[in-house]
Amino acid sequence: MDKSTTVEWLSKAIEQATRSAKFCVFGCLPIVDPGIEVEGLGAITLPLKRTMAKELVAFVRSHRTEREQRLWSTSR
Amino acid sequence: MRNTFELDPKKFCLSDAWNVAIADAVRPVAELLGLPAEQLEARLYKLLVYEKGGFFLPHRDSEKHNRMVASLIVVLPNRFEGGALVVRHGAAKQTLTFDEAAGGKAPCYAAFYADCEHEVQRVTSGVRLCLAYNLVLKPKRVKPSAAAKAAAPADVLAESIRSWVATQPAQPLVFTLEHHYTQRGLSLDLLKGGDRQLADLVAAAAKKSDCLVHLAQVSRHLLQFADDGSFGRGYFDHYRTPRRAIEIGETYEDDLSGTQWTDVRGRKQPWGDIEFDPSAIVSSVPIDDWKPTSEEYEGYTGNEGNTLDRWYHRSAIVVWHRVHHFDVVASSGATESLSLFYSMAAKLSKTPGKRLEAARIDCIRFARAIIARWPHHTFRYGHPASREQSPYDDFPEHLLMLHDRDTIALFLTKLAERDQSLRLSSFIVAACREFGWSSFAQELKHLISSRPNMHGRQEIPFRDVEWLSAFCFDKTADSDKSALAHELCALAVERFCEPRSPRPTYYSPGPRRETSVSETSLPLLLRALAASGRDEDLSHVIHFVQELPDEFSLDDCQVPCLKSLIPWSRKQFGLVPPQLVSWLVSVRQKLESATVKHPVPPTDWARPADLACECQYCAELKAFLADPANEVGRIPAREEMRQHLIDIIDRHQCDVKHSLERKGSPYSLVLTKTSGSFERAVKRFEANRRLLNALPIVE
Repeated sequence: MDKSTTVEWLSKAIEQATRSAKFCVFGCLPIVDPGIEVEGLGAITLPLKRTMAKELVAFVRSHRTEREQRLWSTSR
Repeated sequence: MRNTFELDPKKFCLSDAWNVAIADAVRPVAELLGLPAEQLEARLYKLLVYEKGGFFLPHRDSEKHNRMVASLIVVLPNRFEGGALVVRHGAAKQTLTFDEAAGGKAPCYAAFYADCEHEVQRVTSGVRLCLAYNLVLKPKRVKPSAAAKAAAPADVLAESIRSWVATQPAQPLVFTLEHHYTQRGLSLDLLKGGDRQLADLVAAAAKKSDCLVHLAQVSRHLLQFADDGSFGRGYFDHYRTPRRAIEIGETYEDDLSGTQWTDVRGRKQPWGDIEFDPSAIVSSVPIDDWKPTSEEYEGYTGNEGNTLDRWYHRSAIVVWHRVHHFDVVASSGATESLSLFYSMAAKLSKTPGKRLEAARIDCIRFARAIIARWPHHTFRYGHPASREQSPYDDFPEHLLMLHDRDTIALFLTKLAERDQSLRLSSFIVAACREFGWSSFAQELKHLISSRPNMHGRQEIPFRDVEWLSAFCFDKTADSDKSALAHELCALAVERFCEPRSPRPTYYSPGPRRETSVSETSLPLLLRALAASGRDEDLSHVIHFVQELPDEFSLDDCQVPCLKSLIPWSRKQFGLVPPQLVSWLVSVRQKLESATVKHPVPPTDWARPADLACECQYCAELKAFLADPANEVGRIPAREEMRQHLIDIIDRHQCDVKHSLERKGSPYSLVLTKTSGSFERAVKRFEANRRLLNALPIVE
């Protein structure tokens, strides 16, 4: 097998060998209550009631870090 | 970039039942992503809250842990609209709306590799709550058994790798990976999805074909002609005419190399960039279809521009044959490969007996690979001052640590072809002492008589005279050594006394003269000849030097040489060789006759008027110079002739100053006589007196 045939063959073989892998998987989880308890706010019941939703949003807003306050943050 | 709020896990906690559900979910996720389920672990990162209007523009997650490979997002059941997650990998795209969670019915998840670009689209109503986890691979204690699993396809792959190695023995074969990894992610056990399968396959095949496996970042830089319609336009057109899409033309540069090397366990390798052959890239996407990581277009700027720079980056598994390992490493550049070789050679003395031979063979292979790539150092005809410090300087010393005659012989042969300046005195003497004085006879004779492929005059390099002198001075009483010393001296003298080519006609001795290679080498050559008892050669060289006073000046060469050689020979042999005595006498006579009469200042305005040019203007200049009555003269001449006269005055060091008189047409060159010749004669006279006083006395 000459140089270019070898590489061509290898490229095809490798493509076939690795085709099955996925980059993203998704699905549903069993219905289990995460039991979120926020320090200074208490237990969070899901789905959120209107008042709880407002309180949670207000809480996370007030606990923004300095980094988060920068609009153009580059992290998640 | 984003409009969302997050809560650090220190500020909240989750139920045990939930944590168990997440741990259970991670197993199937690992399998689908092609990761080892027993090693994958979810570590809580943040609680994220998106209220109405919340979003997150496309981004990639930074790897927060050393072994983080993917992200897991769990969207909690709470009513919201919008907020779809879009994940991209190369050309593929996945959009997830999390309907069950958005309807408040059940939690939904998505897991994707950390290098995948993703975004959260705008939430149009409600609150989207999610928990973000980092998926981390715990280190595995047992050796991976992947090689065994991949046995059958690996056999076929191994055959192909063998066939590659047979035609391209020292050319790395590069398997590009689908995902991009940071340097700390470049380890076989941290690879993701299809890359993991590929790595298992390649590693198994490499083992079967006796190849080594490493990981690297592949970097390609393309520089091409490109035109957006601005090429060749005038300055104003350039700004007025609308541009069109860029058309790409010929390629000026195409560099492809591997950087940031690690071994299969992710340990950094101390190598620099290793160049790849584009035909050695094994990739499911052909190299010319790779997507650039960045690009830069420079439009037309008159004398530059109309180029497009494009950079491509991919991670890769790279394979090469074990036997050629050091050929590949040596191709990574002198600084890195030499320092690695030096540390390997230095460790040999501390290596236990069991491992010593294998370590020594590695060092020998590495040394030979470095020798094969030895650079050319043949500048300025081997002048000792022409070599700058370089990492190659310590190579001879480390080569001796390998105790290998054949590699030393190979090195000397390569130096004869390529290097005239690497200092070798102690190296050659040490090598001859270890392996015998005739062990390198052929190579040393070749070295001293070699003439690398160069133009112009080729004097014997100072470096060669220097090691010859050290060789001849060595006190070892050995008949082989004496015989070889005689042969080497004869060859050196033959080269030293080769007829000099005449100086070019434009040459004129300036006031500042640089010492030549031969002048610098002369004392060492004469010492070597005296130490080896080469009386005839000694006479021959001294005679040659005396015949060429311009080449071997009294000031820079002959007098300093006599000053050092006469006391040295007295100390070394108890007497001064007669050849040196007669040379001293001859130099003394020359200096005495030159200092009999002090120069006399001129008594009128007549000055030396011997000029090489016969043109009409030079005839006027000559007549003026010879005229005893006039101090100042004028020569009307056009500009180019005035310049010609100035050149002649400078070249012949005529005793005149010149200025321009801007009157009439053409203008005139005004010449005013000086006493330059007399002043130079006085300086020469005083210098000769100093040289005469400095000459040593022999009874």
